[in-house]
Amino acid sequence: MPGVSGFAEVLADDPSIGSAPHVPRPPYLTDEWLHDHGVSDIGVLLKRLRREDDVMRPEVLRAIKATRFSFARSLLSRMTQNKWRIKLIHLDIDEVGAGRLVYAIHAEGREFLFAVMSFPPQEVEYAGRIADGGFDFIGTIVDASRGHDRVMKELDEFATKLWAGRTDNETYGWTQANRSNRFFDHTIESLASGRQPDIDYLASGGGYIVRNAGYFGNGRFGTRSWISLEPGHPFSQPYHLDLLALYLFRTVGFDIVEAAARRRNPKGAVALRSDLKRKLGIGNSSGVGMVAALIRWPAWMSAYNFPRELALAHIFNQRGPIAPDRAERIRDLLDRAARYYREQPDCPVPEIERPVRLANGMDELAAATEELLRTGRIDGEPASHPWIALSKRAERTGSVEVREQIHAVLIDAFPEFSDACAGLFPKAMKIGRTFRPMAVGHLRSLIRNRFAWALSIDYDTPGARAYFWYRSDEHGENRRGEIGIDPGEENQTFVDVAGAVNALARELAPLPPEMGVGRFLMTAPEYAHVVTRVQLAEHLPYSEIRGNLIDQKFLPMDGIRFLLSMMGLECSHPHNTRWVKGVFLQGAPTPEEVATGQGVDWIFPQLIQGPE
Amino acid sequence: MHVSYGELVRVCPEAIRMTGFTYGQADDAVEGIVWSECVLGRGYDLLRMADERRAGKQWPKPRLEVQTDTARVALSGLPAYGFAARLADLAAELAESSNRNVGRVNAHGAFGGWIVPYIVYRLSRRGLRAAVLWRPSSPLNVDEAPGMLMLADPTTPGAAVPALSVIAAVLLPNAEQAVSPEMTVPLNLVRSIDAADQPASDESVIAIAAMPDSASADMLEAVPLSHALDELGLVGAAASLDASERVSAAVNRGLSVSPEKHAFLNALSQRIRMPNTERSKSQAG
Repeated sequence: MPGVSGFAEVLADDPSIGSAPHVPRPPYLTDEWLHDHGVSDIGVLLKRLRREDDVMRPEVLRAIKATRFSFARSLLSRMTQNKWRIKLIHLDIDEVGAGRLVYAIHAEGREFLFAVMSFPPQEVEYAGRIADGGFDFIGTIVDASRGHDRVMKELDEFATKLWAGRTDNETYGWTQANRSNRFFDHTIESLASGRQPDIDYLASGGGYIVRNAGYFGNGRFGTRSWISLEPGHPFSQPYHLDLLALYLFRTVGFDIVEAAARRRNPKGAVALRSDLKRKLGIGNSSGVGMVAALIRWPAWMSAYNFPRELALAHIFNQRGPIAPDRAERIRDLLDRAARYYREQPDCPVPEIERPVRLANGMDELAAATEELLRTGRIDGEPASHPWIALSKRAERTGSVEVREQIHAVLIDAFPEFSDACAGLFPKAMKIGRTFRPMAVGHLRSLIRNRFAWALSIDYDTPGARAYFWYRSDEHGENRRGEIGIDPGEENQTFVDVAGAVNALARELAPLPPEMGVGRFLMTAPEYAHVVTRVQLAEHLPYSEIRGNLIDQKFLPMDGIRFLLSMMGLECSHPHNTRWVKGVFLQGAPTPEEVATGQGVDWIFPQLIQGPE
Repeated sequence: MHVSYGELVRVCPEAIRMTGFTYGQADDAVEGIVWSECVLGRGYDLLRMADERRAGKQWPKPRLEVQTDTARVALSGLPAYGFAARLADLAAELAESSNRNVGRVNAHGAFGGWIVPYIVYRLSRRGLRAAVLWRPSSPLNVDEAPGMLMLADPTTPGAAVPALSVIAAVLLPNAEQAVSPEMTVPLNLVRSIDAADQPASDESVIAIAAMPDSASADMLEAVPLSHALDELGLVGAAASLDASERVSAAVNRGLSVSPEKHAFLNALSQRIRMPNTERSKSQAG
């Protein structure tokens, strides 16, 4: 199992592990912040942070699960806490589900519109790729001041010009989605016949009737820049707009099937039951371009990972005995997770752990939690740090995914500190990648200390330089070609951080240590980007994927799965090692439930067996 | 047409690559190009100039000579925006390690002087006082920036983007505030530029003098601006512009750009794309 040795050190019961923390401390993590949040021994807490080698290797990243830090979860939490109201204010849908809808969104004192055009069903089932020839639904999120007429014109612009369309600063983003034809039709037909759809049938297709096909904001088509949103703006958290679009399209699907059913049978049609709406999520598939996106923003990578790891370190630092309510919460989540994983389809990709294995792991850990609560022991052994002991118990299952799932569950069981850590996110996001003058000797030392993993890669091994990423003519879709075989290597999308660091190290090797790096970069400016990455890593942990991404053995799905869990996907299903599918927002509250402000404990919903 | 700030940031890396730079250098140049468009409305023009003058796939590397705190960089025939950040950072490094508290960089032969104000901005953001002289090559190309002297004080702590005083023989576009010739400027900082060597030919010059904010008072001896301009042989009005306000406006409200310019930028960035083939399709997710 990867990372056992280093991880075991961090999880030692003795807090005086080693002489220094395993990872650098980011500048925004101040003593004051830690004291304010009840941390008395900062040194011990920081030593509990997991080593970056045990978190950032591709085979570990692919196992990391959605947590309350994930953007879908934090969005729903914000929406509910602030009682966002999403109201359908315009509905013009025919019997096949074609037409237009407009929603008013009241969020934290502001008002927005979400307008949707639904096209007549096509024989083709769009996959949701950027290279697809069309979409079933298009939508736009705008300031409400735009008004009904202009938002309709905006839809026309999007529909007629698609990738060549233009908008302006009152628009936040354009978004697309597709029907899952069989299940969408089944739902309309069922409702029109006066009955509910067969949830087991819908679950057999993943449990959704609409699939995401992308959100395009933050400047694309002339949309408003995300950084222009002030800190208190409802969309100021990264990716919340993207995920709101997903949430809205899930709602759109429900409203369209109900409207089409009413058109077909005005007197006999029934509405989709709200408990079924809760069970249905929104489908998603993601490809190799996600890996390039993960590489592009190392500071953001760190900004997402560090607060999560800090929360975990805090949990590991807790001593027993455990509080019964926490144990109950953990056991409940493990039970639900076990059931959820048992309902998931089997995975055709051999490198991925089978869902049933995770389900069995959850059962084992639920039993271990019960023992911990009753006796203060796990497997008969004393557990002075109970959550360390539970994590070790997960490790003994031999499953990295089981281990990462219990970590996600633990984070959920300690919401106070975890949510405080999430509050660090905006500060972490503001750290830029800028050059700092330093001596060549210092830079070399940084590379040795922070990028030893990259220097250790043997590029002479067969297959070590196998692939490159590039953009295709089909709307710029990212693809992966073979080095020496496919054209386009000279235009490749940057993903090879390890290769760039190795090249930099070779260039620096003969230079005098006292020489300024600014002087070096004047004649080798192509290294400016990797120098700033190295400098960033001096203070920001968990910023780089620690692997050779161009190696024949690297699996793009590892990065894709991590990114999707960061977004909030509970369980992803690789279709192959380059294409990952999954369903977002299964179990998420409906707009009516969000508007009540009553929190809904929605993760790991039960799909099969009809209503709860 | 309306163009978003975020759109420029997103499109520029690939557009800059397609003007003849590696990924690393393009990544380094994005901030300058976007800044130049937001503050001066010249970012697109700089890319077009480079694209028109480009002979091979990649631009050659610059040559560098350094003596203590003074550097001379040969950029003959190269677009200045590809090296602007490097020139600023080299000047900062020399200033911060100089016994005399001044770092000087003279770069010869580059084209695209509208990027030079960004050098001043970058030094200012780093906490340095800076004076930068741009002399275009002669005869002056119609698209080229006129000669100008620019001065900037260190960024006010906490300010997102520093204000930038630009004092030019010919006014910068839309400079909103005329500056009195009686305004004082630090004489020795300006003289640090003047003392820099001049090219033998008619090549352009970017002459940078930077000093840490902690520089001794005698370096900051103030003289009227008219005096400094006389010493440099520059004539004309002076003006200041608020770079901070212009960048904020671009972020918050977007930019107004001619459709032809924006179409050029998009076409440039899309040159990076590879033809769609059956094999290529099979390599998608």
